[in-house]
Amino acid sequence: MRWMCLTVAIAFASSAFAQPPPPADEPPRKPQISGTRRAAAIAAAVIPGLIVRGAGSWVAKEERAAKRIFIGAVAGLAVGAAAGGLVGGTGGNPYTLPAVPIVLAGAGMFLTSWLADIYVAAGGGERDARPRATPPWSVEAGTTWLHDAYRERALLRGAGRVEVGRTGLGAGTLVDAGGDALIAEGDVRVRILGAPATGEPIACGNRLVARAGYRFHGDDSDRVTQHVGELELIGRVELAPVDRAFRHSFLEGAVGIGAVNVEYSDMTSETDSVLLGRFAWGLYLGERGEAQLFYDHRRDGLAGGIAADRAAGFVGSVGASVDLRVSGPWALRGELQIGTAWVSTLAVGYRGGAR
Amino acid sequence: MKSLALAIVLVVACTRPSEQRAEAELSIGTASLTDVEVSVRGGLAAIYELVDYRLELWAGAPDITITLVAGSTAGGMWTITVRNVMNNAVLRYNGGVFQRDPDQHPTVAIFHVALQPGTHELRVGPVDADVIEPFRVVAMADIQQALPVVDEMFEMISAVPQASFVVAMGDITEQSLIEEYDLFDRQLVSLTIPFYTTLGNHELWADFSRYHERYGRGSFQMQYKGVAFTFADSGDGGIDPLVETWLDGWFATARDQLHVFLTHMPPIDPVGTRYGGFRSAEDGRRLLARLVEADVDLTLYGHIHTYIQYENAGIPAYISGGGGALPMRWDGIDRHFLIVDLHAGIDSFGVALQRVD
Repeated sequence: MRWMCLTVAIAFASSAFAQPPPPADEPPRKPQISGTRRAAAIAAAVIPGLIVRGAGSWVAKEERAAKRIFIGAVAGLAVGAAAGGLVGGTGGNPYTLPAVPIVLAGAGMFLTSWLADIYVAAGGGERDARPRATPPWSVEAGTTWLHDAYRERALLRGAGRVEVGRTGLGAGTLVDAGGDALIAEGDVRVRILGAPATGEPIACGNRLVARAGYRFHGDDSDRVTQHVGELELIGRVELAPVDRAFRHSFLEGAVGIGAVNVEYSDMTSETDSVLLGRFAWGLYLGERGEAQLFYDHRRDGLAGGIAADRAAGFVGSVGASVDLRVSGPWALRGELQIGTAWVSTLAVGYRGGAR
Repeated sequence: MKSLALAIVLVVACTRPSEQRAEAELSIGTASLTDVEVSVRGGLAAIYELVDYRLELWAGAPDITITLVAGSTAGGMWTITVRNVMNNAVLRYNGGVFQRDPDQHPTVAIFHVALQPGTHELRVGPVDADVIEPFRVVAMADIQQALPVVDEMFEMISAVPQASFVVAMGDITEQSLIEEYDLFDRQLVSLTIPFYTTLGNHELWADFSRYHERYGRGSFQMQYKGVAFTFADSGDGGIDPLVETWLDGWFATARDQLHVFLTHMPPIDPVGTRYGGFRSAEDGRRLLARLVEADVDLTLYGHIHTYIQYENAGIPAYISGGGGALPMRWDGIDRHFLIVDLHAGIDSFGVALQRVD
């Protein structure tokens, strides 16, 4: 698996990196800085680091990581600006829309470089942690709370997934406790790259998955029923090979497209298309799970898009999630997604089948 | 930096960004002095000035009704100036018809009316505003950076035969600057018919009251010759819940009428992957379901700087963002407006594209 970590990470890191990356399993360097300096590094990453990417890592004496964060941010900004300039400069001409995923990729690199800087400044890479492979099977039950300008809604959720070889099958449902809405979804995922679904701690969490999904969303109070079919490519790359200071953190990205059939008030229907795009920065929590901060570009979910001032309408939602094994196979999952609505989820899961 | 962080947090945290704006609309069209109260039905005017025996306002609809409550000291000869009126508008009061002062701009009407202490209802508009017969309007949106040259477009619109008024779907300005609004007002001199509009996201780059104080409400319904025009403020990429409740009432009122719905952002971008519509597709589709149930006949949008004719939820729809803002490239169209013919008597309409460049 290490070859994949190195290959993907090197491709990500670009040839500007003069020194070859150290192996992912190299022991972490002992912290050489005082607590005061650590605090200063975090502060530098949070405030000036918002503009000068890598400032926190530099203060933390992780100069190489700082340079790579800076290069990553500049590269992301350049790529995002170039692609964004094409889309925006043509006024959103449909011919240029294939460049939107590149805009998202660039924005993702730029924005997550800030998080990576804070992580390095805080000494995140000096922890011990390991990713876990996808469990062979899992079930989950929980609740989702929807808060938006129009309503408060409690939804009960249940989901399950099973992995057979490279193929995973998943299904889930969200039922409005008030009886007004129902979401049911299912998907098939094919693992193209990455560790088999053993549920065990693994050396490298890199993966590439193709996904085909279907979602039904009926809302009686809105008088709208949607059927969504979608295809998506989801990838994860660990950052440790870029620099050991990034150990136990990763980037995730997804891109895809979907088709929607919408029924209005049982009176008429139409079809539409949706663009799927997502990027996330995350870290492993020991061997128990992981946490992510993410951006989701799609607008047809419960969250919608944030009220992004002058960019309102174009920008999707942001969120944070934690998935943590609390005792053996038992896990807790929490997520907060903020767009037009606040969508918060708390679920209890059982990750079965680990050897 | 702290203020930037705070702004980011507020932007992210806000689920109802247009709440203040919607609530502020409730007071539009009302004003008072010590001994005088004025209110315009439906908030269909921005009151510019109310001083001793003088009232000046900007009409937000072709036919407006002003209620003036004069106290014991407020009786006398009143001068009522109404801007943005139709060429044939008169003032009707107490069974009489008052003609406007001569030699004014076609959209400016000055009336002199003797009012005794008491409550008075003054109606300003064409005498045939309620007559069901065919008429023509012009629709446009997205002027923005083209403000300095929009007079060219206004001159073309003024030359459209039998055009009664302009309906606009927002984005008059680029940055909502006072200088831009001042320039727009000066450019309106070249337009000989009134301009009824909602606001767009570019009117929100600064304090929204700059728009409200000049042009009144962003969400309203107006009636003309049996046709209902419902305007909704979608400047933030959605419809405020308060505005949704207004829409419910307006949709019920216009249920059996020829009904045109106008808002700045299309609820759902016809090119779904572009996301040029509402922030939430769910909210956009909820609005479309209501438009279907309300039997709306025609929807007009702006925001996307091109011309698109399509259907949303089976309702004919036009995006006409050709007011001069940075145009979409490679789409074969630049500045343009729409000529819309309406006839409530036979429940029909026609829309024609008019290129400017």
